Formats: sequence, C-alpha cells, structure tokens
Amino acid sequence: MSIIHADRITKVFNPRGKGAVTALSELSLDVREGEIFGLLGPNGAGKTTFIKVLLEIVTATSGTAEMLGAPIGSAAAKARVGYLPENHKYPDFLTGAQVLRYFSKLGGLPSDKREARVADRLKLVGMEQWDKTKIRKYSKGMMQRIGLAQALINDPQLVILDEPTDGVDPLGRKEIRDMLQRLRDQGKTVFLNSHLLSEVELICDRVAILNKGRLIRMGTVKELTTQENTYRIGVRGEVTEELRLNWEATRVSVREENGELVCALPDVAALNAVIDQLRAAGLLITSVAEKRQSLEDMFIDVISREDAK
Amino acid sequence: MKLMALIEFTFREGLARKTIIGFAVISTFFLVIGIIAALLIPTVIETGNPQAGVTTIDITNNTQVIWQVQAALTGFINFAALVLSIFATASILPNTMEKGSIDLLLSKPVSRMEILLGKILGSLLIVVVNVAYFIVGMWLIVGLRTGEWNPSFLGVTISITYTYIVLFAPMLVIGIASHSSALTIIVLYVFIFLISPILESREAIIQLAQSDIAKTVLDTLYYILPKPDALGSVSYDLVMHQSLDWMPVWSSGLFAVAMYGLAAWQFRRKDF
Ligand SMILES: Nc1ncnc2c1ncn2[C@@H]1O[C@H](COP(=O)(O)OP(=O)(O)O)[C@@H](O)[C@H]1O
Ligand SMILES: [Mg+2]
Repeated sequence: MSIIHADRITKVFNPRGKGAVTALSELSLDVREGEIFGLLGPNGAGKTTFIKVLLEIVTATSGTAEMLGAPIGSAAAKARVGYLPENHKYPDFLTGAQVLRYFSKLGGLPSDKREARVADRLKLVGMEQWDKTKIRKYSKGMMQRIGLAQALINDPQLVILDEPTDGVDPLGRKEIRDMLQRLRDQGKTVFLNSHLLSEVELICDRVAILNKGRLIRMGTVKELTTQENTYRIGVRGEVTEELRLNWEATRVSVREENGELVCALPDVAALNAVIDQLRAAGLLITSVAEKRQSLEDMFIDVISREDAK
Repeated sequence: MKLMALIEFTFREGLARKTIIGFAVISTFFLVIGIIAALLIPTVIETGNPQAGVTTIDITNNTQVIWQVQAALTGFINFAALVLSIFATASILPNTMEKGSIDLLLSKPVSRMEILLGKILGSLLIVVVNVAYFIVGMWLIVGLRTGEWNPSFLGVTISITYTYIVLFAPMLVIGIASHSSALTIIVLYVFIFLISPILESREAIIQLAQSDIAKTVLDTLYYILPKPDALGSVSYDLVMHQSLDWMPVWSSGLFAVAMYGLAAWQFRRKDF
C-alpha cells in the first residue's frame, strides 16, 4: 500500500509576478508502507516545498496527492502524521513538556493519555531531565530532540522529517538514525528530506533525487549506486588523441582524475578491451581497481550531468 | 477543545511577552490616581459669589455630575484602551505566521479557520480582561466614594470591546498580507489619530473646499470606514443615559464583517 502517493505535483510560486519560481514540476512518487524514504537534492531543489504540499502548508498549482489513503490536507490524514519542519521554532516561553502538551492537544490526543505520552516521548529523545526548562534555554541539538518528540507525540503512522540531523552533533545524528530505524521496525513509515547523502545512505530503503523541482532518479540506494561499473586504471604514459577519439566514437566514458583514468563500463569484457587499447598505444598499466560509487558520487555525477543539459 | 488550546496559548503568549502585564500595570497606575483623586476631591463643592450667596452642591446627591465625571473618564479610557490594545495584539498573527511555527500548526489536524479564530478570540480575551479590570475598578472607586452605582458605566466595557473588534479586523488583513506588526500598528494609529478625526470633521472641510468631489469622497469614506470617534461618543451617551446613535455602530460593524471575511479568505489561501 502507498502511504504517500503523489501524481504530477507542480508548484509555481508567484505565478503571475515577475519572480515566478517553479519549485516542483510534475513530481510523481510513491512511498510504501514501512519504509524509510529519502528525498534528496541540492538546496533549492524543492524538497521542502514537496513536504509543504503534502501538508497543505502551500497549495499545489496542479496535480493530486494522497496521504495515508486520504486526500492531502484532510484532518483524517493530518491526524496520523508527525512532522518536523526545517528551522522549526517552538514557543520559547513554554517548557519542553508544555510544548509537547500543547501539540498533543492540537493533534487530538485524549487528555487521559496526555501526561503518560509526554513523559514517554521526552524519555525517548533523552530529554526527560529538561522537561521543566524553558525552550529558550535549549541548544540547537536539544531543540531538534524536542522537535522529534513533538513529531512523535500522537503516535503517527507516517513521520515526515525535513533535514532531521541539521545542526546535530555526530553522536546525536547516530541516535536519530537509530531512532528512525526503530520506528521502521515498529511498522511506521518515515519520509525524510536531506542534503546529507552519506547519512541517507546509511538508513534509507529507497531514495528519490530531485533537482530544480524535477525527479531525476528513484530507487533503492543499491540500485542507484551500482547502475554502472566504474573502474580506476592507473597508467604510465600519455593518453593519445587517437585513443580519446576512439572512445568518443564508441561512447566509452573515460576521464582523467588524479593521474588515473576513471572509466564507466558495462562489464569486465569492456574493461579488458580498454586495457588492450591502452597497451596497444604503448601505455603501461600500473593498477586496476573497481570503484564502488557512493551515493554522494552518484549524486554529484547525476546532478552535474543534469545541470549541463 | 483544539480551539480552547489555541485561545489559551494566545493568552499565555500575551502573558509571556509581558503585554498583558504592561497593560495591567498601566491600568493599575491610573486606578491608583483615581483612588487618590477620590480621596482628595471633596464631595461637597461651594460655588457662587458673595453677593448672590454661597450655594453648596453635594455631588453624592447629584447623579448628573457623577455621570459627567464618568463620561469624561470614558473618553480617556476609550482612547487609552484602543492605543494599548492595538499595541498589545498587533504582533499576535505575524508571530503565528513565522516560518517554523506556522508550518507546525498547519501540519496538525486543525483547520486554518480554527487557527485564525483561536488567534482572534485569544486577542479579544486579552483586551476584554484588561478593559474590564480598569472599568470595574473605576466603577468601584466612583461608587464607593459617591454611592452612585451607574450600571451604564460598566457597559462601556462592551462598547470599547466592540470598537476593538471592529479595528482588529483591518489589523488582521494588514498583518496577514505584510507579516509585519510594526506596519499594522502604524496604519492603525494613522487611521485613528489622523484619518478618523479628519472624516469626523468633514463638514467643515467640505465647506472650506466648496467642492462636490471632495464632499462625495469624504462622505463615502466616512460611511465605509469604521468610526472610532463616533463609537467613543456612543460610550459617552451610554454613560449619560442619553439615546444612542446606532449608525456608527452598524456601519462600523459592516466594515468589520467585510474585513474579517477578507482576512479569512487571505489566510485560507496563503502559502507559507
Ligand atoms: N514561499 C515561497 N515563495 C517563493 N518562492 C519560494 C517559496 N518557498 C520556496 N520557494 C522557492 O522554491 C524553490 C524550492 O525551495 P525549497 O523547497 O525550500 O528547496 P529545498 O528544501 O530543496 O532546499 C527555491 O527556489 C525557493 O526559493
Ligand atoms: Mg529545504
């Protein structure tokens, strides 16, 4: 079952003004039950806008979407969602516990369950000693923790997090990752936005890459990072122009990086063909290594190719 | 229940931002002055000149004089209450719409109309509590000193609150469009202190200008826009037990209804 189903969502800000910005164009994606889904993209790609469309904080210019089987924006959908906005602000005159109480009321949690739930969520994020401290005294990391507790206060089916590890120290990041994985293990669905790819790689089951409002890749981390085999070949000697022209003509991607040749090739046979060509041209092979692409490499690669279009 | 949570939150915010306390301190200050005045001013006044003989007036037996005093007070309270209430509540909606807090509110299963209503009622609560505190305090001082318990004076709480409700409507519209509490305050003060008095004395201006266009423009503006000065006169008439002029009441009310409608429409479709 799809927990989030978006169908050709387009959002244009200030459509009539001179400063019209197409933040999303025809974005379609599905998030499945029980997965951790990561929406990635450079700053300004439209990640936050997509989340805001799902929660009707902004209205889509066109397209439709459903969340938890209900139309987006409906109270039925919102009642089962927890959300951590980016740069979230909490009323700084309230204490951590008061903030959780306030949002549990707005979320419709019955009052007899409230106190136990507030205490439980504070404990979950390791903030129980700070429950009576005013928010204005919290550090950035503590704010993020109370934000997570807030997102989980009504025991949501779906948790939407916008840059959850932003401003959190490495230890805190690990804790957040562990918490998200525990949520998944409990059968919850997690949707997160991030530009921190190395982290996403560690926990996301599936990711989508957004650039300038367009979806350019979607799949499991494994699918996206092993689409092509990349090899590094160390050589001694000059790569001749003749070789380059030959590669260009046969559409073999070879580029030089730190004195090595980096080749994207379909299989090992193609690798050996390139090695043969190099040796025939009188170059000496000093090393050959398979280069597994990290999500980050793939991301940079894909985005720069996309931007060059 | 969600609406109650929103109202309570708005009130707490007022407490935390010291606006309610500031309001209460100023009210208390004037109440103390009222108490001192009540103690110092004699209730029996001697008037007249030596030839005609001295007449003494005992204020406690003269309700007309007491009403006069209360009516004069009303003018001052009306002015002070509006200045303070606008100042105290102009930031409520812009604060709510700050990035990072509005997102969170809107993500909850609460409709935008509920959020707006919660903010309106919360602001109203802040103002009513303060105005009622001051009016009831003054009423007690005058009553205890003179024995005259003019119930109409308590009614001023209602007329001032009504004027505030009327003016809060354009405050919402400006706040939602501009996200700026400073701009809201400036526009409202310019209106109350400049535009409204000009429109109030439009007959004199029309006579001076001798222009039909000026007359049409000023008259139209007068009837469309709210009338804080005329509503102040309604408070005065109320205290003096005189018949009330309802035109400023209903015409200001119509303006307010239109503005609340506009604010709701703006808030419902706004992207945050
Ligand atoms: N309220 C808004 N009004 C106008 N433009 C906006 C608004 N919100 C976002 N944008 C623009 O939309 C684009 C996408 O922004 P955003 O969704 O915040 O990106 P991301 O979260 O991926 O960094 C950016 O170009 C941004 O300037
Ligand atoms: Mg963002």
